[in-house]
Amino acid sequence: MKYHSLGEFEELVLLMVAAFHDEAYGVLILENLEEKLSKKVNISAVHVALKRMEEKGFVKSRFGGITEDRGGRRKRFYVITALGKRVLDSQFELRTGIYNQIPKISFGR
Amino acid sequence: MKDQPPKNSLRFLRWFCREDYIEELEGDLTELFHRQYNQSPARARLQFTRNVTRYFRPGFIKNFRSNYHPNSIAMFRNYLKAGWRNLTMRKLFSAINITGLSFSVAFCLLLFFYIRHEQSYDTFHVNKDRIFRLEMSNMFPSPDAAKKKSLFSFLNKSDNEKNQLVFPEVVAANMQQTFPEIKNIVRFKDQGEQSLKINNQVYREKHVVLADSNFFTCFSFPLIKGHAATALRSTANVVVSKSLARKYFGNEEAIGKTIALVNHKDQVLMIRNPTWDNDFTKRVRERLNQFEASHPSIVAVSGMNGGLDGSYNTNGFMLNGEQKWLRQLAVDYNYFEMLGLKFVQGRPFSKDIQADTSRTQRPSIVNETLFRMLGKDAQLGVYNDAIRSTIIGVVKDYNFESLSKKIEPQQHVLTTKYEQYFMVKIRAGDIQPTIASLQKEWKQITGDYPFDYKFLDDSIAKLYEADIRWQNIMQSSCFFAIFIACLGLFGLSAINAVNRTKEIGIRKVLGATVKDIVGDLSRSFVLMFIIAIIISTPLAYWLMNEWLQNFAYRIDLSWWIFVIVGAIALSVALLTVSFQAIRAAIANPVNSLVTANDFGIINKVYSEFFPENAPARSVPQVMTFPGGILISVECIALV
Repeated sequence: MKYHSLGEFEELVLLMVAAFHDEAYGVLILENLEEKLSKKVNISAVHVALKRMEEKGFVKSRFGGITEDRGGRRKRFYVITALGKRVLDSQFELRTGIYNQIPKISFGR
Repeated sequence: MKDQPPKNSLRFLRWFCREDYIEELEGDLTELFHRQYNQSPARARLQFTRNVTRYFRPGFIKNFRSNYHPNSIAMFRNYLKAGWRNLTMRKLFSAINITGLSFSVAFCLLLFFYIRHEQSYDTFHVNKDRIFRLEMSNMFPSPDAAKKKSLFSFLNKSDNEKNQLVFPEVVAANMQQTFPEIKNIVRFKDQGEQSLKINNQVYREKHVVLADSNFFTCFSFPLIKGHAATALRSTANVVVSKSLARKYFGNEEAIGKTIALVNHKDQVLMIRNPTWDNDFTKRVRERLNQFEASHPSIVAVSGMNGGLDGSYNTNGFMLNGEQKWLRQLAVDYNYFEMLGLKFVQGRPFSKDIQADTSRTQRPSIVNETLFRMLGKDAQLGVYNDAIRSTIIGVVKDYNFESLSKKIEPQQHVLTTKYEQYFMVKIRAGDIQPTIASLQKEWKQITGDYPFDYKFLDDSIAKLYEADIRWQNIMQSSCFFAIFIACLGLFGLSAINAVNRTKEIGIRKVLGATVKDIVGDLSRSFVLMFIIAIIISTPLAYWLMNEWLQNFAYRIDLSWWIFVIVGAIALSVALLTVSFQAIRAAIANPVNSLVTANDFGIINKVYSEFFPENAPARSVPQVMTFPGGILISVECIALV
């Protein structure tokens, strides 16, 4: 299961890729993550996660068209793969499964 | 433009970043930069640079070690692998091809280096395009000058029909007067081996050369010390090579030292007499004769002018109004006996006969050729006007030159005073100690003069040097030619055998013996061989004849030589071919008969075995026989 391992930050990025299906690219993921997490995220961290997951086969990518404000450089759009989706699902099931086992605990306030 | 990301950071990113990532990264970073730029340009720039440095990590740095085209290496590696597999797949043919190719490449390289060597020397002369060597033709037409030029004449170095390089003294000045275009004439004479006196010691040097004073201005030999224009200004000057200077003077300055040319014109052990001095010669002779008497290992001592190695005087005489030439050798009393020469008429010179030293009678001994040439005027004991000499003996013709030369008319006169060489015949087995004691004796008699000797048989062997060199070249070329021809034949027969494997298999099934098959496979090669023999025999005959024309004494080319050579070549060829044929013939036919698709071949062989009324047969084409049987032929015949 080595290749199916998924780190915490990677999972967040993968969720973002899945959420912005076919529209996700570095800056967009970064800004949405910052917004959701309410903290500064470094763009290089996003790229490292994306590249690792592409290597593991969780996402795949394609180039977009040339745009003016990127110095003539194309965007690379990421899409989640079936494997990526399965990993997300199992991760989700694992967590909710364990979560549901939590007995009712009362933390008296 | 101000709103551009920092140039240096961008350049750094482009330098280290993987090529497949750079577009995305640079794009994202630039987009971020633009967004921040609106708020704070300075921060945006700082942030950009900081971000760039964050990418400087293993996953993003390109691989600097492997080059930019990893695919081309893989391609060549693949080529090599495929090539190697092809080679090992068919080992025999690979071996044949590689051996043949390497032999040819080796030969080409040999030729290339030989030619390059031939063209490499004397190229440093600045005036090399303007320097010419004068040659002179037919100053002294010798009797065999009319000999017809043949294909192989180049082998005979000293051929008389070749141009001469020796000119009378007057030619140089005369040429310069007649042809104003001539800027300079350099006269040049190789004196050969000479005696040099250095520091009161006498040495022999192999090459002493006399040259005009303009030698070093005409040729561009680089002078290490001294000046080209003045080096040879006086006849007292001498220029030596670096190695000679080192040999005699070591590390001392050679310029200013004295080298004296010892005054001597020239000199079955031939000991060179170092001087023309009569008394000296007489003294040496007497001592040598005493030495002979006291040493049983010395059989005989004799002296002569000119050598048996081919140096002699050529004298002209008129015979019936015609210019003729003879070779004159000055010999002493012992000469004929020592060399074991037979007399046809008359007698050798004798110490007991006073008349043999007569200056008016001028007695001489001629060879048969000269005696015949002189005709009926020549009579024993009668003064012959043509050669101005009294013939006292006729010696049987003997050869003292290469056998490629005809025996020339030859005259022997008596010399008792000056001798150029002393010949000493030493009993076999005692050669080295005798030479050593001779040398000791020689030192005692002559003082400083070097003891210089050679063996007669070595001198004679030298006469055949060109022929022996030619023989070696021919031998090695023949070896290579035969080797490469055999390789080709071997390859051809192997292909032939492989192509006919199935046919051979069927023949064997139908009852052909190994002998039949080997004969069948070899037949076509024998035919080829016969055609080759028909072409090559006249060619070889012609070439050999051309070569033999160079020899005054030669064998005849008989038909049996060609028969023997042809037979040897045929057996070599058959041996080569039959190796493959036998291998194909003894192979198990089962291995060669694969499917019934070979029906065409079966039909061909079948019709050969049964030319008419072939028995009906059925060849069931069944894809899977049990037990690995590949083919089944059922024949019905009338017995």
